[in-house]
Amino acid sequence: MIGRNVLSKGVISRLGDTINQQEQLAAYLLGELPEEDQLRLEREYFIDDAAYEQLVALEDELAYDYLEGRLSPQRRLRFETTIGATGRGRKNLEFARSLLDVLKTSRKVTAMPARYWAAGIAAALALAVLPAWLAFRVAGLTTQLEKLRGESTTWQARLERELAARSVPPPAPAPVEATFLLAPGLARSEGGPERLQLSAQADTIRFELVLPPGASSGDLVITIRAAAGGEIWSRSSAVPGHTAIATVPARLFAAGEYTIAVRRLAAGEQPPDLATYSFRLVRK
Amino acid sequence: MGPGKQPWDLTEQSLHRLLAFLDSDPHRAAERYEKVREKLTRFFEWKGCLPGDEYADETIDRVARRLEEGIETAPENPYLYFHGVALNVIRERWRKAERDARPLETLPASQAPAIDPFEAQRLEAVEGETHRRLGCLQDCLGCLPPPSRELLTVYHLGGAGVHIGRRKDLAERLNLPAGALRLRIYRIRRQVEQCLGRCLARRGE
Repeated sequence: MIGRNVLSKGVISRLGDTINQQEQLAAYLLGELPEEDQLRLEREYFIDDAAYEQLVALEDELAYDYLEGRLSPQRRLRFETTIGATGRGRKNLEFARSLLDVLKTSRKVTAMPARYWAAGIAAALALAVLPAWLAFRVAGLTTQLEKLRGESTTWQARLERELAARSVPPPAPAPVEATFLLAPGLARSEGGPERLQLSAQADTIRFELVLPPGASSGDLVITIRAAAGGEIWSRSSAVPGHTAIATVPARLFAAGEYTIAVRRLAAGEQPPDLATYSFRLVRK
Repeated sequence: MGPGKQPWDLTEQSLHRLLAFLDSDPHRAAERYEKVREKLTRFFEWKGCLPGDEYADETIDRVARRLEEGIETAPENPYLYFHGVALNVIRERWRKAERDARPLETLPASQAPAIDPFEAQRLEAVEGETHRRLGCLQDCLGCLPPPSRELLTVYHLGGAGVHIGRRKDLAERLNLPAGALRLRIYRIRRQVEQCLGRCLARRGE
């Protein structure tokens, strides 16, 4: 329970900036504030639409806190009998749960394709000793891999050739990584984008991006775009030094021209790029 | 249980008087009417008075009736007047609840307060619909501008040196007040939710 008289005038309109203020607003929404403080808050949000919107945003966030187990048992109960008990509250919860699921799945798929590939290949090779299951399992694996991130038919064909050729499964190969060091601007080579040769065996490409002077350190967003088809990959990461690293699944790249843009992570309007790196990818 | 209904109906004349009370411009008055109704609905829900919209309508009717009867002193602020009437509605509701209180064991099963929203919506979910919903959500997230998508992901899942649940850290990194960040995330989520609604409608839910 929040003590009396802890709320000063205009607490919501200061946008609930401190932990204490947020706590007080949450306490109001869950019916834990003393009456005097409730009245003060209510007078504020009845008059001020911005203050009201701030409370609504916090109410929305409580659904996520509820699902992610960030509410105390007492608050969970209060949530269930107040905000969560309304039709709108249940709809919010349903949406929040779906959104969290999709965000988690998206991150998993984007972050660990190489691991899935390795696991898929290892599983398929192990099945080579069971010929009767082979066709079924390979088809199952193909579907699974398609779901995860679109599959490379080249890899699939290669896998099947290997399965047919070997009676005893060899150990799963270690992922192969190709590394390229890129400087900002256009090509380091004369007359066009830099030409990068990518081995067919490469599972991932590691781009080491030299940042321009004054642009080092901080949270950066790295985006890779194909000249022909728009964005193919994007990730934010904390960059401690003068080089930003992007490790990207090789299967995302067909032969062609690409641009990597680096900019600062920002909440509002997208800031201009700090640096761009252009290259032409050639598959060996 | 909804609020007690009074034998009085909102007439066209009393509605016009109510709108004029909110604003002299009819267009702005209509907008304010919607806003005050929304605020009242939330106000009652946050107080645990459900369904909030019925209590909100009861409050609006009472204000309209008082306006029809004539208020001697003009209130300092029309919104605060609504708030004052809403408080009276709540006090009456609590008094009535005390009078009508019955032991839990005597309630029929249909009236037992066994609401677990998480469980309720889980039971309602049908697998096919869930897949369609998740597919739509995936598409909608993909349609977000990359900065919004990144922000939403980091806000909920952490990343880039921001731990899950440490939203304060993210606000500091972005040099934003925590409340402003929350509002921005809220608006992104609403954007995704609206997109989801359109997508499900297109796909026949």
